[in-house]
Amino acid sequence: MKIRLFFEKSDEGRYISHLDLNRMFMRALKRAQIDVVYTQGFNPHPYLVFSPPLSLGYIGTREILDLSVEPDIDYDELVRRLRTALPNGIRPTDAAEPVKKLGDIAFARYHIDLLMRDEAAAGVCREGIKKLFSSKELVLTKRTKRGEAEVDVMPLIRSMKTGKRGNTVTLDCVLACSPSMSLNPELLLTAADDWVEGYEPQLVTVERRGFLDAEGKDFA
Amino acid sequence: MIRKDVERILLRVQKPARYVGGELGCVIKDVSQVEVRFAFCFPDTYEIGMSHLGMKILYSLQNSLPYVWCERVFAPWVDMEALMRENGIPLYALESGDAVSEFDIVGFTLQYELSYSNVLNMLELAGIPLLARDRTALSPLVVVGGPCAFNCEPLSDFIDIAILGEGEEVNLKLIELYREYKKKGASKEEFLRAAAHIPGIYVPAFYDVEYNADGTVKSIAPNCPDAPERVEKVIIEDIDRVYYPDTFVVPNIEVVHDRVMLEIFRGCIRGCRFCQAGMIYRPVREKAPQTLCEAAKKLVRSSGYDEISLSSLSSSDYSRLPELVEGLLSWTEKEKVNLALPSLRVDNFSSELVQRIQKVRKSGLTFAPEAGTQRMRDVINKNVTHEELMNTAKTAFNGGFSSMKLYFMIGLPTETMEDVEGIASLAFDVLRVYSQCENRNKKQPASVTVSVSSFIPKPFTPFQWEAQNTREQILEKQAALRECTRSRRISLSWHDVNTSYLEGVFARGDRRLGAVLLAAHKKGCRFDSWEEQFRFDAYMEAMEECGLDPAFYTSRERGEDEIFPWEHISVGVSREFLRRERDRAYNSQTSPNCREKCLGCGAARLVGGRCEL
Repeated sequence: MKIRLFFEKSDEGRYISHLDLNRMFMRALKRAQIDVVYTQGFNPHPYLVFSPPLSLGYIGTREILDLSVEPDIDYDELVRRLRTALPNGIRPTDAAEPVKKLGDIAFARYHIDLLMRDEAAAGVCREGIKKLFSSKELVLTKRTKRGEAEVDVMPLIRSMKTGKRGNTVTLDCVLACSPSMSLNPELLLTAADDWVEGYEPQLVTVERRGFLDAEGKDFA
Repeated sequence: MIRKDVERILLRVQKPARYVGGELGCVIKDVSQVEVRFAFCFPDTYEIGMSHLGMKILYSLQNSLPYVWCERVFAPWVDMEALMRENGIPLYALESGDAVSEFDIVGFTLQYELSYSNVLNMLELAGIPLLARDRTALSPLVVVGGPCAFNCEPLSDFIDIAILGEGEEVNLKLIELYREYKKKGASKEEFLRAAAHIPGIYVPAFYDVEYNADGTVKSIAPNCPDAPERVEKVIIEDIDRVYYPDTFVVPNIEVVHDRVMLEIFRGCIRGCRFCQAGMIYRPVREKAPQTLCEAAKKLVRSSGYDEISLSSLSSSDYSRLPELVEGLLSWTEKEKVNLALPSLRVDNFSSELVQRIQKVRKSGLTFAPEAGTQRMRDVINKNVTHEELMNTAKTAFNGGFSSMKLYFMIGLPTETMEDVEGIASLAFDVLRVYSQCENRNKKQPASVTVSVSSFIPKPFTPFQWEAQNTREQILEKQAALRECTRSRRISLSWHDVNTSYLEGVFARGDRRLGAVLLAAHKKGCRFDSWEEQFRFDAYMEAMEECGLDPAFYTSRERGEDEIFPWEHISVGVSREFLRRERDRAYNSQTSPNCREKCLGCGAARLVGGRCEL
């Protein structure tokens, strides 16, 4: 039986790398005595597929893990058992039958909090960011496996909304997140650091709040 | 609990998960409900400390007392340390996030000499005065334990108490006493005097050391009526019934030993003459296979680990190994749990064992002949013959292994160039055996990894009197070895001479080295066992400033009757026994192991006069 598990990655869990997350779930499944289907081969291991890796330090509120179990198990039961088998900061929320393939993820939704020195600074910073991302074209240097590349990021931003809450500037954006095209919010923040006057946040919190398909519909 | 001030710097350091805690199995208590707070400090990185079995045992045990909260503290890596200093963040414990200076007892485990500078650095980061005499209040009390505590003289200026031996009982006694004395508002002095009566508790400040003109120790005598003439280590007599945790803190990031560790016995029946562990952990005490199987099952269930390793000084000497392996494999295979057997000896390694351990997953094989020639192996009492080595290789290769790692030492007493070159011939012999194995993996060429460390004489061993090879001698031997191991199939690695040299200084060091440690600390020394951090020159400068010669501690042969800096400490093994073993070494005479014949080392006294073998 194929299961799609949704989980939160926050608090201490933010600092767990993708590779460690994979190992952590393998142990958790063992601990929860959930029998997963193993890969065939020289070094059998549970067949686990995650949504695209989350950068170290980011919060994820709707991360995805696809797995196969045998025999079948009730979704709520699986969530309940995994919750007690995982450490602080990694918390399964719900599980369901996968609707779309993970490969159909096209966008990710982010919420970013930039804590500024005071309200005035937040106001200035917000205006600067708004202006920066309202341009037609924004060419940034993106580091890839093959080296550096110049990329116009504007087509990779599906939407972006800035806001202000006290000392905090908020950014709500939907960014490309597919194997062929993806944009890490880190790149936008680097751009803000380079171009926006008064960009001196005291604390940056990035939260990934789920995925969308190519049509922009919530991913399930 | 992630501290707010820490959260702000975490994304600027490597591996931030080291600094946040919150792992599965970590113990959180209500501070208002506990009476004694214990900071268990490991003076190295999170990944190394979290691999240490002793810490896991004592963490769980101490937390099993409702009135104690034991938390973990590791040395922050240099990037984190710099940011902590810059932002005024004190050294804190992972569970509560509270500053270590707020704890009652700050305990360090001393696993190797080159972590001493980290002890000082961690105290400083905690804002705790380094010198014991500057800490006048009862808390924080700085205690140490672990193998290096048996000669912790170089640290005696900085510590209040050293715990000698196995901690399961004595730690609880010490904590209980502390609780009582804290409640009645006693002074530090009063507490230390009472603590000195607990067997295994050593209070360095209660002893005066006098030196001869030549720098050797003239006398060591108690200066306090409560301190015994000699402090003897404590052990757990009934190891089968001793506390063993049924949960481990499971790290969120990969650590060095990331698996269930099952301690199968303590002590060692072999009497390898260079080996400190083989002497200080005597006598041998085994756990029963049933006890171990149950413990393993519980730990696998609670941790979710898919690997169990058997832990001891020489796992293949476990007297009921087939029964244990059988018992474990009866369920591990079903549950896809891999069984690893480190530290196998070559002389009792059977083909059956090879096949069984690689049923689940194949891993590499490691053996430690320690020396290249029979004569040299006889000197060190590593009772392994060339023929046995070759048979082992044959068994392993026919069983499907194609690579082997061999551990050796150079710089051993009486060693000649011929012995050094013997290491190379042995490696070539192993390669030759491979090509003759019928059932070898023919697609895979053999490879042998030869790892060569430099011998460092350690206290409480038959070689404690020996001169350590000078750096020049070691370099010459390393070069010779490089010359004669030129083969694509052999990869050679060796230990840095300067590191071994400094380790030699502290291993047999005395109290005067406290000044050197302090000076080196002020020069910024820490993480000395990390090559990229090690600052040998700073240590040499510190020694010079303190008017001490490193060669006095390393390359000087000790007189037969010389009083050692650790003379007031007993590990159960008598000086006479060590002396006899040294004489036998010089005659290239081996000694039987404990099961073959009792040599009367003295350790049996610790278990009522008779060892259970």
